[in-house]
Amino acid sequence: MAVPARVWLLVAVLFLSNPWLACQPPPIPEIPVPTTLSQLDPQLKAHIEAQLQTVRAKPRDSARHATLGLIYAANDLWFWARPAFSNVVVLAPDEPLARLYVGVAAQEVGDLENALATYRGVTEQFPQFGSGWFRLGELASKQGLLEEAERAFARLVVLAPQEWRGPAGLGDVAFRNGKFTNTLEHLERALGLEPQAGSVHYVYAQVLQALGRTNEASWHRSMAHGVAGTPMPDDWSRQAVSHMKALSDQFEIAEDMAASGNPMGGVELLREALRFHPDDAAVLNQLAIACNRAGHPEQALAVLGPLLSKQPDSLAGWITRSFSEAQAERFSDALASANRALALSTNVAQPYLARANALLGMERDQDAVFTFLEAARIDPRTAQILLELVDVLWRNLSRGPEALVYARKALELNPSLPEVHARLIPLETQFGDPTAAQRSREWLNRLTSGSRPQRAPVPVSKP
Amino acid sequence: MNRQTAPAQGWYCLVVVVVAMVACVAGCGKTPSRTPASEAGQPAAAAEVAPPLKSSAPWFQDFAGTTGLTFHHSSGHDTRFWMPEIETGGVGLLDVDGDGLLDVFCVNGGNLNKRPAISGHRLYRNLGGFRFEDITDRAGVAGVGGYGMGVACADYDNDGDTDILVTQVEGCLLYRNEGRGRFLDVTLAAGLERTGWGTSAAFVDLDQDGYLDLFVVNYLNWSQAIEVNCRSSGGRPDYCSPLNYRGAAVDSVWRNRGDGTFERMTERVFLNRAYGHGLGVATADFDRDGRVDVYVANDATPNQLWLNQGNWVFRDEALMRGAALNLHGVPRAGMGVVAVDLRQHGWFDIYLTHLVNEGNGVFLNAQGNFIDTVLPDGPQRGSIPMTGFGVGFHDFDCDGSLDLYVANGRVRLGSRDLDPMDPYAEPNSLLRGLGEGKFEVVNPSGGTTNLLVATSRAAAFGDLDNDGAIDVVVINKDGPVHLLRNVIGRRAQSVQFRVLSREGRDALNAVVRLETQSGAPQWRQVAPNEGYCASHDPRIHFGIGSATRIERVCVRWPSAGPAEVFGPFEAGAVYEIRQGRGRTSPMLFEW
Repeated sequence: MAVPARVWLLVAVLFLSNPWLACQPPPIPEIPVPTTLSQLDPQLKAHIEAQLQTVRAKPRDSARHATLGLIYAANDLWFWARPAFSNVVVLAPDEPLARLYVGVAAQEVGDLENALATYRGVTEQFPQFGSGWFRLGELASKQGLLEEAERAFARLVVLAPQEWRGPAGLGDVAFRNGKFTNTLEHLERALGLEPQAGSVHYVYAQVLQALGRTNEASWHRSMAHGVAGTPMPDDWSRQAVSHMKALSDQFEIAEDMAASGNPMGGVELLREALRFHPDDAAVLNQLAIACNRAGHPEQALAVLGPLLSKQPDSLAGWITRSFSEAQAERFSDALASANRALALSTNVAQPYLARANALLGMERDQDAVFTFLEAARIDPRTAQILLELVDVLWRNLSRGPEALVYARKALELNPSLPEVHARLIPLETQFGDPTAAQRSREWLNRLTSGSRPQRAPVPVSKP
Repeated sequence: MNRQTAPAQGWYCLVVVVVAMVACVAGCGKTPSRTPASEAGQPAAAAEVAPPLKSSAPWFQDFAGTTGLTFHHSSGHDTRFWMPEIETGGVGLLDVDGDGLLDVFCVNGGNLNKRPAISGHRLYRNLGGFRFEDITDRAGVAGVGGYGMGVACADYDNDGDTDILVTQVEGCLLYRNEGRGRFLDVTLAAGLERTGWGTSAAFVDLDQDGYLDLFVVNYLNWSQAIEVNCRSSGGRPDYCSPLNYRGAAVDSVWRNRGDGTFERMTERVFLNRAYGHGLGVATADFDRDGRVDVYVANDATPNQLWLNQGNWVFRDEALMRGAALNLHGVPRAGMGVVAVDLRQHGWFDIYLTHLVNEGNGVFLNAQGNFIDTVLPDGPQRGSIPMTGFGVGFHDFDCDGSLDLYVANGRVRLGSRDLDPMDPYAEPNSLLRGLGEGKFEVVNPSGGTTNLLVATSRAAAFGDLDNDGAIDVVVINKDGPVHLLRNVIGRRAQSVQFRVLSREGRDALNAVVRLETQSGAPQWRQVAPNEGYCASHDPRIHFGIGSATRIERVCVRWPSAGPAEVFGPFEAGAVYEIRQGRGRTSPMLFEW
């Protein structure tokens, strides 16, 4: 039955004339709270509770909901991140990242159908939003929907011509369609934008291998060593790191801080973590490592003291203590601590490395060589151990030819490590094959193009 | 008349309402309007389970509890998260007493906290009619306190009965079958020392001398002293990633001397140049050079493809041939692995089960080179939300196309538990093969009326009641075994073959091509030792739909010797094929 026109008119008039009715605020969205909240890591729990309080104080503030979603996402609580991001979609319908992250959360919990639908929706609603096309292309590709992936990556190339993931995605699709010439074109473009993109090198290597260009394939395969997938960054993903409260993440962040010249930042970060985990052996140990990195071995020893008195069988504790003592130039103590660690376990490399480090400090270089060899036997995959050995043999013991043997082994393990080539160039020149030296020089040039220059190795006299 | 004026009034009213709404938006800022659930991503009830395509009758009936197969796996988990606890659980199907019925050997974990005197493995004799009797004690296979992982079964001493190799954290255990279901622990006498933390293992005749050699996949150089405390998903204590230990292991390979002993060949063949966190192994002649190769699935490290060059020379060509890493050069968490000819054309592809969000992997074999392939209707369907372990391609419904069963179970806590009692539990997956490498998800999920949700590890496949349909036994961590009786395959025709070598043992890695008048040729391999920590029915099974007659069966033997043709055969039976008793022909195989 049709509604009489007068009724519609009445409704409209009432609606307009009643300011309270017309300006009724939106309903407060339901704030997702993990059912496992009480079981979570105490620091994470406190972080979530603080944000929940912030959201509840102003429940229609989309930015606060977004932060809550990011906290959940950064700590692998995607099931709860999803409704949090959905709330942002409701409160800020023009925010493309909100819609995008609803899709990401759906993908992370395995609801791929909805994730794909959401990405499609994002690209329709926000056709100029590059990240949306990237996510659509990536998931479509993962699902084997190559035509859709190709369209998405092509659009990404137009929208973000400096983003290497666009041509890389097109290269993937072309490769999977067996169009090798097209693949190479796309991948070369991607490598032009990001010469260190390992995943691109890997696909490139596969194409070259298929085309019978095995030497070039080998080079690109080496450049793909240790590839890890990284999605296209965006404003929200850049914020996520500040919300990571899992201890393992915080340990990595502290390490990254030290590597980027802010070791004290790492110390502060872990001191804060310690506040929530006062008895956690891993936190104490990592804090001590951070203190070492910051050049404060005495602080490290102060941290380790209570740990080792409570847990005298803490392998990690004795190893770190050995390094701290060596850094404080207490080499005999360092050797004793390393030996304590070795008494606890001989099937990991680290106690041997600690022992070798102490021996180097005591200028017992030959003993250090034996100990490095033990470490390399136990952990034969890590080229860096061999490089330590190379440095001692070459610089300290003047045993260049022997050093060359281990440098070549390190090359076999990881040819994409610039440090390997930095050592091989002089060693091959002096003791080996000058052609190999030239090859290493070329590798080093290619490896360091677009990255920071490689420092020359220094003699190992002290740890 | 009314019909002409009403719309005009309606338009006016609509405009007023729209104006009113716009005014409201302008006056009140952002007005929420609920986005539909599918767009806004409201948690769906089955968000973590891929939707099945269409409904059908159950494929399997689970009734372990009523059959006497009472095994309940124990990881021994208490408060500390010891790494082996999350990987343990193996199962083998073998006929221990030669009565023609497959018996079931279940590998228990044990207890890393208390170190009991026995491990708790159990052997169940098949009495027929899906009834089982626990004969562990008189068989002498309960284990001697080691922490159990998996099992491989084969007649390594060519004496006509099937022996058992158990992999453990502390090294392997070899039980020689003394006949009539009695076993003797001959580990030391056979020379199987220093085998490491073994997971999957395979008996395989690598040197074509008629004796089965042994390949043992190792996971980690691990001891309780190096265990670390890890947390996951919101900081809850949890099992670690193998990468936390920096202790990737070398696998080991052993030459069968033919006198009941094995010679360690690991170093001699330079197997120790490659490291990884090995969990699965599959054997096949991947490059069709007439020699059986070995593929190892590694967890979070590159996989290996050991190409057999003959005379105990092996080369790992996984990286070069594209079978080590995913399409983007990233190692995945390889758990179970099988060699399967997905396109039924004589080249063995590789199917791997992986970690949640990675999706299971298919390396399609392109004449010896491999391409990591994802197709929308391929055998990875629905795998991304799951962590897969045991795996098997079999024609469960006997329609002539291979189907796929995957045993799933997490290794890390998720953000939401599917079973409040077991945070690692997931449902298993069943896909129906549509031919040409295409698959669809079976409904009901996992093929059973009631969804079975558990932390599943090994899955073993075989015809337990000799009814011509492949049944499944699944080991679940800290749970009861699932015995899945196939109730769909009995409706169609099938045929099975026991393929024997000249020596009279199962001719492992023999390749069989079956031809009927109506259907396309089907390819199988005798491969009882593959998947994850499992050993399967050594007989090969073909579903043939409505066909009643097999024109011929061509066999390419793993040892030197000409290919042979057998047949014709009538459907609906198990036949024995023995090397040397068929007709030879130089053109039986294209390669």
